[in-house]
Amino acid sequence: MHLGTRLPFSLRITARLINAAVRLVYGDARLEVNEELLDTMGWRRYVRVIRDTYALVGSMNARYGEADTQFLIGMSAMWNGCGFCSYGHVLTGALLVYRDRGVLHPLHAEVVAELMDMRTERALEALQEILCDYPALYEQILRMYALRAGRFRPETTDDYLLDACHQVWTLYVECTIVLGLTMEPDEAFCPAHTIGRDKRLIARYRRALERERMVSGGGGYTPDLDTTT
Amino acid sequence: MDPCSDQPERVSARRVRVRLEGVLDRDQIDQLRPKLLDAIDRLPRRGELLLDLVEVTECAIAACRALALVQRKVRASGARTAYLTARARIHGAAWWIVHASRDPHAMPVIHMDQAEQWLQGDAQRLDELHARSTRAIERARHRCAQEGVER
Repeated sequence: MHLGTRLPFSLRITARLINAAVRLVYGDARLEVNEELLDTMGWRRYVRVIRDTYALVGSMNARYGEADTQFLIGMSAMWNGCGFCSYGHVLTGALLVYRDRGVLHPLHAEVVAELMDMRTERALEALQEILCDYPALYEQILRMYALRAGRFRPETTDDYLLDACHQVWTLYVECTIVLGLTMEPDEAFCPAHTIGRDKRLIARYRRALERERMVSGGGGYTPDLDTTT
Repeated sequence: MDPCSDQPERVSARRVRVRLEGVLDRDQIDQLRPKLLDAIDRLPRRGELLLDLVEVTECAIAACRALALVQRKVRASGARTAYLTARARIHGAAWWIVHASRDPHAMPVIHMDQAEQWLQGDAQRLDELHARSTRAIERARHRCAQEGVER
């Protein structure tokens, strides 16, 4: 919440209703974020942004598949330093992969937390190592970062989608950062996907991740990543 | 490293630059605050503040709160502010600070080019973010329609 301000009663009620609906549909929600979105944008702009976001995610799903779409959204939020969005969308992508293919994706919330502490150039190198078996996803992440850094203007359909993804989640981070700055990876939940309702799957995924961590010596997937560079 | 080794520096008639390093905590920001506000007070109307956080490695939440309070004073002065960062975590801290301060003329950036563009522009942050996302979505929608990418 903004320093020293208080949401008007009508917006507080609206935020509570939205929060309850989101929790019902997606399995979890945070009232603070919905209050912040409404307070910052006003409800008209809020509705427009949500509507446009669904359309964009639909196009991205068609282009990249649901899991990679979630990873790309998560990476966009990660560059903006928001744990709420980045951990949540990466968790969603990882859950989709785990449900559909029975494997643990190398990108997960703890890895994202490590990447956020690195200088950007080092984080991109680390991502290349982490995603060595997922070159297409890495290429899209790299391209999205280059667009963000203004290294070139969008040319292809992928560029336009990736640029839109980055711009939209930068707008969200303006509000979600109220929780995203201090959120821990193990607090992540799926912010806008029905897979978040499958609590058994989430529990199974977390147990499998923990087993993998123990097998790999407790350091997760990136034991040699140096965050000081 | 002493994060306040660099004092607010008047780099041009309109601009003050502050370069911070290492791990930021509340005491360090409290020490910086009077010098920074004094430097801002000396700027002409619609001055520019560049907070260079490229070498900052950690920023405690208490330091973010202290910087947000400083940013509120900067807002009152009418100056525009750019937070230049090189780590995602610090970029997030900058987002938190500009949001909490409610200063519409403060923006986190990742390159000096972006900082220059922001500092010399007129837009308010939320309007700018919304305009950028609306434009990008519209262009993506148009392109997808041309290529037949289904939803």
